[in-house]
Amino acid sequence: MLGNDRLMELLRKLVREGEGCGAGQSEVLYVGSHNSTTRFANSIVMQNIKESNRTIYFRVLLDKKLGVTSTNSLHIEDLRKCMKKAIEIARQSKPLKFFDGFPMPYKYQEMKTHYPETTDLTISDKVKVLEHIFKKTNFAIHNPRSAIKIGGAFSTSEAEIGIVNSNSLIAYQPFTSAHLSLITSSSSGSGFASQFERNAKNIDIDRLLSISIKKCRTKKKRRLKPGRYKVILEPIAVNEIMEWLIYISFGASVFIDGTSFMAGNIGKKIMSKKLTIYDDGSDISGFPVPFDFEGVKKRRLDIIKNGEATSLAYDTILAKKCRKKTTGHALTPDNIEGPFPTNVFIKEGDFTIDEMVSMVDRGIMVTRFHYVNGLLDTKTASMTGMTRDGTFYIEDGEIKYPIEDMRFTASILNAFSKIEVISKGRQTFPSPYSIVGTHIIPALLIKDFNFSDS
Amino acid sequence: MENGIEKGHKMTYTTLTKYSFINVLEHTISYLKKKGVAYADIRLEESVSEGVMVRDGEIDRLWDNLDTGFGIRVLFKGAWGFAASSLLTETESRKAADEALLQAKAVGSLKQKKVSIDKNLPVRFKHKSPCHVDPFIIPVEERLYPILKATSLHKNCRQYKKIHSIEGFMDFQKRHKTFLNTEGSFIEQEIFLSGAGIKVIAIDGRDVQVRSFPDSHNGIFRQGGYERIIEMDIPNNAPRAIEDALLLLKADECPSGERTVILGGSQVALQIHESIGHAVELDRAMGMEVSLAGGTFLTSDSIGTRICSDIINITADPAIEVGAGSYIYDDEGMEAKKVEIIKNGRFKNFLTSRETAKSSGMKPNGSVRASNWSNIPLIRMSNINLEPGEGRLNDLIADTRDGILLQTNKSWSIDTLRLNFQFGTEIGWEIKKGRITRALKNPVYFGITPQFWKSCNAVCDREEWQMYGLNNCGKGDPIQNISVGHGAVPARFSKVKAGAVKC
Repeated sequence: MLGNDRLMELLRKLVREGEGCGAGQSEVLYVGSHNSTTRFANSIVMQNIKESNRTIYFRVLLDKKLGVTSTNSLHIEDLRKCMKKAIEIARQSKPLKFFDGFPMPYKYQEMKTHYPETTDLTISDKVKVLEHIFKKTNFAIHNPRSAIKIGGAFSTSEAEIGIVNSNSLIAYQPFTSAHLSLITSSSSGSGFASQFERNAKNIDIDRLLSISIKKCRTKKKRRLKPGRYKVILEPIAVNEIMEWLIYISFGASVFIDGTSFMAGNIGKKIMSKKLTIYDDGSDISGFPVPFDFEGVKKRRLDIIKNGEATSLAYDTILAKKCRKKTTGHALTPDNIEGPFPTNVFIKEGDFTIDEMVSMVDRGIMVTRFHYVNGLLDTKTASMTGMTRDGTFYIEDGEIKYPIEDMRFTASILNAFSKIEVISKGRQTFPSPYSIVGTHIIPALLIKDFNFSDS
Repeated sequence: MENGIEKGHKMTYTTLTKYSFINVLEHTISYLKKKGVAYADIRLEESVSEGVMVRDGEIDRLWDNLDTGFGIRVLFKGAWGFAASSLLTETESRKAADEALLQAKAVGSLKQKKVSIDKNLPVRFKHKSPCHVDPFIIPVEERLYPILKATSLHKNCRQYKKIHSIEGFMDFQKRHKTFLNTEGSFIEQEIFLSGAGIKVIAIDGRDVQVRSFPDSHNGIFRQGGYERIIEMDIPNNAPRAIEDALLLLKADECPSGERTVILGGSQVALQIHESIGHAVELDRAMGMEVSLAGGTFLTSDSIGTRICSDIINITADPAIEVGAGSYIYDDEGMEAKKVEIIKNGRFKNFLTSRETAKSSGMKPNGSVRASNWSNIPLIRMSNINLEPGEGRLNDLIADTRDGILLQTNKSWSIDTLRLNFQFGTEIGWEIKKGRITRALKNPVYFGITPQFWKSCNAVCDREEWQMYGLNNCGKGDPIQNISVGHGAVPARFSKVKAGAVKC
């Protein structure tokens, strides 16, 4: 970690050098990360990965012409070369008629996002945790013939983000995160549980292990006929769908190209009134982030409000192009697909998952999906994917038995119009589009959901 | 600002150039030998890349990137450790070596099966993949001309008013990799990768249709320089993609049913990738990737069994010059070899690493790569190719009484064991009595891997053979995206369940 003072000194100097080299306006973004992951499978630790990376992105604006470069070499000659390359690219580019400059300074909310308990965790500490998990898995075996194997990953990371631009915008924030995922498998099935936290101390290892073992130590799986069923999607399964909804519809780029189901529907009811999807990096009850990757202050953005399509995520460039205001969702400049919401919430409901199960006469409970694809028809958010690691048949308000994995092929617009109940409890997942983003997601009870023929 | 920017207590940090840092890494290998490691390797990588997205004839995003770093992998007393850093300093190299050792020692304290690998002879080798036209020295406007031109064709044309937008993509990468290990190997490889493509989006009400050229998912990636872009001739092929997209708006939905399906070459490439390529990775078969990527339906007992029809021959060939997944030595210092995966329909070999081969009684076949310096090397596809058969695509169509031709991948999904798949394509063409009769929209087909491949009754000839390539094959945790090539030809399958998307 470079820390606020040293990093700001470096970034200010680079901005000044950029202006001195002929850049009209310049912006320097630093993203430093230190990640450590221990992977295990078959109840054996098999991989350890520790990596430290530091990337500096330059954006220069010259007579409305933009140049973007990046490097992870902190060698001064490479940094200067990179900056000059950005100026050269800008000179060779066509002007962006609509774009007039980088963001102005903001006063950011103070928030705690860095926990020493996470960075202090050593490889020996992690190995001890895993030894505990392996032992508990062995103790859980009542019948030697139904041995449980455990796999997963335990990762911790530390990141710092700093931004300085020619408009005197200055932003800095350090972050930590810890993520434990467990997959248990036995001859009768498999189970999964995971937890994502900023503070590693908050990870409840025994709870995760208990959930995962309970899911895999069940009766023999039965096969269920494809068709439409009432379904409870646990938060992990909902999050897999949410990742695709964000990708195909909640960002400005897909709105502009017309493929988003939000295009032509702003202000219209497109999902259940019970459903509110919003993005809020400023919510300190979640996993807050003070600014986006160009320093714009985070604030709440309603995407779907009570079922109505409300707004999309913009960065400064696409906002200007569409004559809108940025919503503070710029990604790192090497991302060609964004902007995307990266601090996503689904508003919580009132019931526990057990209560939701008790409301189902005949239906299916899905722990998790595998390989969801949301490109079948983006206008109806039609998606397909397979269930995995715990799919159960529910009858008369009780989980009856595990079932073979099934393929779903469903319009999520249609499915999310038929949401009956949303769980009170929500789970946090890392965003695939930002190293500091999260999704905070409940379970959903959906009236009917299409499981297709395989 | 000084030469290096990070300073720490009792440490001297001086960021070094790639060339001076190699001496440091040689000392690090000696240091690790003295520490008693069973094996260690170091990869130093420098990658220069440029990515561009254009929309409707204007640059939307363009960036240029320099990425440098090194990763040290250590095998000590039967356990692995790996540490990587982007800081090229003597102190950082020692720190990473010590960290990798510390990890191995910590894991070694567990009562678990110890890892071992067979020794390999030292290799001294230098390789540079061909690059006839260096893309990085061509001025931006000139370099982007093919996609700027192709993506502006619809502007101000009344007959193209339903073309909502055309997007274009272009990517170039030059990666220099230096590999050294405790066995005395020193291998340098420099690889150029170039790719481009366009995506035409036609909209009529809520009907959105997409046609891509030369392939979907940002185009085709191949080793080589700007000559790969010139070969594609994107501007002259764009009008056909535009016409197809407009045709799809008026086309009927693909009818549902069990029927004969001809897959175009690029869709065969995707089918190989998802249902064969990933399925033959030995680490999956051993359960090592179960938490994220999943397993495979193949086991060591599957070797020699029939999983395809007898006209199917599939090889892994990392030595093909244009392949997006080509290399001469893998990231464990093993020589790349052409490996038979499927021979006359029977499963012959897994893709293996030194570790998985040793523990399974197999041989390593040079199939291990990391996506960059910061990642641990894993078993990865190189170029997994369907060997050509007989006849041209036109002959195959003429020989088909009732069927559909499905071209260009649109969606893809397969289960954890690589068995149950559903793939969608951008366009379908109805075939009646040996002739194409109409276009069909929103086609999907689905099946179970061995049944599907066993139903293959025709594979086109070498004239139809083309090398396809993608740059985003994902595996591992943290996820590693890597370039993979697939040589493929159109092929025909019988009794395939197909239809339009039904929700």
